[in-house]
Amino acid sequence: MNDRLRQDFPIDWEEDHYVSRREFFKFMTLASGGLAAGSVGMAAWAAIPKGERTFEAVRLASADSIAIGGSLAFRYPRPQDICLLIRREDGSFVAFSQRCTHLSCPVEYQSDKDRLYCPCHNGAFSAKDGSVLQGPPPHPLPQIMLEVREGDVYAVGVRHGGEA
Amino acid sequence: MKDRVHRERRSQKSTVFVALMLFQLVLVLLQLWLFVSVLEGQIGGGAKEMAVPGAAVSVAILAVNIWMLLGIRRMDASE
Repeated sequence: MNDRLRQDFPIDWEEDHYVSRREFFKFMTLASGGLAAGSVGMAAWAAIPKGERTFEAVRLASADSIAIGGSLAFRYPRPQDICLLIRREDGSFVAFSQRCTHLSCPVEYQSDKDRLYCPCHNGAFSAKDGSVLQGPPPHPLPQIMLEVREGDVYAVGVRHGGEA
Repeated sequence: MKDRVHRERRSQKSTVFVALMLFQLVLVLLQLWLFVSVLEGQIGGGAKEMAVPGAAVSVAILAVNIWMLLGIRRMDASE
């Protein structure tokens, strides 16, 4: 009876599991391939230099229109990229992205401390080069490259800093 | 007698199979952890120094997995 049953229903549980384990092996190797491809892609992405990028020059303001210690908000290079042009105490112009590198809160210029301050989490950046002075921001602020041409200030590109 | 030997060999192979499977599972989990760490470094802190060693280890793990898969196929073919 048992032999006949075996002949009619030749299901071997061990065999059945053996095959499914092999399938699992194949699936895991495929997943491993996907993760390896992703890791190689990320390494390639990390290798791409992201330092300076030049964009079309945009006139921001005449140099005389900004008082020493004053600032002017503008958008560069895209309409959604809010930035801040600053005239420091020594008369030089600098400009930075206004988005804090922590959680994108807008930073404000504090001329008395010569820094850009983020009120959300008490972060601060140097107005000299955008480097992190205090707080949680992980990176310096992206700096807008400027040129002064015939008394007018132009934005000509964006420079991303390195580590904080 | 022949049937019993065959069954024992099959049982041994099955044990080896499970061991290899668990080993592969550990390797893939390690790979996943590496991937997530590197991704977090890239997005969060911008730490790039982990990306290349992470990719190298990940590719090495893939090579080991492929080697094991080929071994399993050879084992199946020899039955």
